[in-house]
Amino acid sequence: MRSELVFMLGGPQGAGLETSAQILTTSLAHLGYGVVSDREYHSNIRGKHSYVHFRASSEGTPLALTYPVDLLGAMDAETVFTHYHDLAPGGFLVYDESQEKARFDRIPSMGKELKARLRREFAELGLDGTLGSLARWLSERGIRLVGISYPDVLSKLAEKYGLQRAQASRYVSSILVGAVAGLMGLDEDAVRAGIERRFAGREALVEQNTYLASMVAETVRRMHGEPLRLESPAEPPGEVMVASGNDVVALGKVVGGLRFQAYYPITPAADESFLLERYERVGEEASLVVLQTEDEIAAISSVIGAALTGARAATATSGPGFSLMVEALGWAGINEVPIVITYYQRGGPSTGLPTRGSQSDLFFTLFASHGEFPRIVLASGDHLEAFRDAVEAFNLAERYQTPVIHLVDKFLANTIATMPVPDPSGLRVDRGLLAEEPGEGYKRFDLSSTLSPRAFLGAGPVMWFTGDEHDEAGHITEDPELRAAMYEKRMRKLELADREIPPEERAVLYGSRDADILLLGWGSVKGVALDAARVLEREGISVAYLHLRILEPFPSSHVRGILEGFGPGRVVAVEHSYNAQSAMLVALKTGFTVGRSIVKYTGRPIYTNELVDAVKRVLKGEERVVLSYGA
Amino acid sequence: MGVSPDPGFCGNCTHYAPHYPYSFMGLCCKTGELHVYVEKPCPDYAPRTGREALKALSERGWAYCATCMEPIFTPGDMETHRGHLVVAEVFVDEAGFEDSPAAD
Repeated sequence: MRSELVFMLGGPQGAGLETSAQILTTSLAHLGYGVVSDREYHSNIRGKHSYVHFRASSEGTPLALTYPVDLLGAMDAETVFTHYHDLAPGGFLVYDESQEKARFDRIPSMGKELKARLRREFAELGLDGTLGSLARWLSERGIRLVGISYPDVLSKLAEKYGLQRAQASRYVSSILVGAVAGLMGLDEDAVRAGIERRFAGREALVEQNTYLASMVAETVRRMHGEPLRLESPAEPPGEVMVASGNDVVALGKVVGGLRFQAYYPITPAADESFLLERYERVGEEASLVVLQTEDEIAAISSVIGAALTGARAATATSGPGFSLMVEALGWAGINEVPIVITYYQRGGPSTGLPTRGSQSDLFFTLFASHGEFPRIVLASGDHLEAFRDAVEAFNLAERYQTPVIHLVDKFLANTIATMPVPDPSGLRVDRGLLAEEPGEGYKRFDLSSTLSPRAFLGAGPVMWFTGDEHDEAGHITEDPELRAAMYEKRMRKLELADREIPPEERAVLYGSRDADILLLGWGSVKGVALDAARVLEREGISVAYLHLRILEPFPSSHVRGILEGFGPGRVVAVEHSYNAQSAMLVALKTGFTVGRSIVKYTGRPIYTNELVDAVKRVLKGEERVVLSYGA
Repeated sequence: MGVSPDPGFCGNCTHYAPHYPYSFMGLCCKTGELHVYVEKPCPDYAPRTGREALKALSERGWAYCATCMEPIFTPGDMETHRGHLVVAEVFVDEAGFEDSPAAD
């Protein structure tokens, strides 16, 4: 038995893959295993190749994904052609043996670049281009084939139940679920629990898919045994939840007192708002209104309006949407409006890679909009952090009366993981300085202190808000002295935040200050950096990781102190970008030059195996390593 | 993922609308039932002639190539799909949206 399993399921986008992933993740969680899975999908909505990459462990939730995979489950021939390289020696391939005559060069959804690469590879290997020839070649090299005729299996299901036309593609999902469950020796009740969760309230579907998965699992077990069975979980998992990054941010916002969310749908942000819509309720205590607007300009403008009335208000978007929000961001800045923008980074520029990940928007968020005004930028490194940051973002926004940009990247947003149910008891709602019984003389922009007590529109005093510079009451002014006073009052809020937010919470050091090397990162780099450190530690290389969580106000002296302890030659910026913007930010804010970098900009996540190799290359003297693994 | 046009089976029947993207399944337009194409022929079996797709193209403006998984909009395009499984109807199930993350 093993303590960990890495596996992958692939198939056409929108044809049951998501269902398989959710059922298996839930089933594994039900049994007490830690699971992390990343969904890599194409932007054409349906038909193109997509896959879900899993890592399951009996020792808690894995920190990151890695290659090779121990098991590849293929819904179609394209999956095998695309990922056969990813299989570990002795790994298992589950595929539809009725498709053995399928040729890679006749698969309409496959890109011409991949076809060209396969044409060269198969010519070198002496393969005829069919799935059957590739499967035999893999088998000769130790890959164990689990061939299942999907049509035959479905015929058996049809004989017993008939087939529900509305759910046709789901049946293929359950074939893969059954095959994985069989090879892993998963308990039938746990699989049923996963199916019940996915098809909640649809008894016939639960029955049919349970039957199908059990039938396949039994067949696979009979032929291959349970070679991928995991050890029993090391510790009782306690109460866990299975959630994506989008999910936990939505939940964090609800816990944090969100009352109004406006959005325009965009990948990979929209799923957060879709979940919030399920919690929408109006006219009750703790009302939540979720508004889908005509565009992102309307979304942020309505959020500003809601925040001025005293509602905790937020929007969620990604790069192209944030581009449209930039002017209104400045309006919120000059009017000191506490809004939260959850910014899910994806591959840019322009439409770029809509469904792929990136960390290339750091500078955009730090400097977006013209003029100078304070904003707070924080970035979450994992699911639990994202939940807490979603709460904290509101507190920071209201305490410092300024926009807060909460950065999440696509890898985190679309990663489904098991996690402990967050304990809300340590969380608090801090609404900042509020005006007590504001009367006729109330001045929203009172200059007598850095933070002027807030009153709310509709709750008493008349207030004025404009995009122009203004006096204490909000009326337009161009008086130079008043301009300077109001400007300074706004900017001092950032200095105040810098003094009040503990630097150790803004930049967190994992590992020893005496480590051989320090990795510097932010966002979802956290998981893979810590996982690589664990692997390298076993090989005698000690690695520390400095996690930048709040990037504005930047904890300059704290970070400088840590970096100088290592020296430029032993600090490596790790980032999903070309420029390693975090290294540039560090130079800007501390004067410290980070001389080495490990970057990736294919739109795919950084994997543990490639980061481990890259760190070794850096230790041998390379200054810049560019990663590219993953289909 | 084209369907093998076995004579007498669903895959060669004019009533069979192949599922997108798993064309080994399909909807029988005669009975409204979902089938797997390896099933035995039924009394409703009517061999495909190719004229159904041409008729659909001229009357409705599109036919469908299950071999290439793409629609056909002109008689000229029809020529490029000679020898493929070209049908008048394609079946897209309702579960797709639940399995499709937002993407734009």
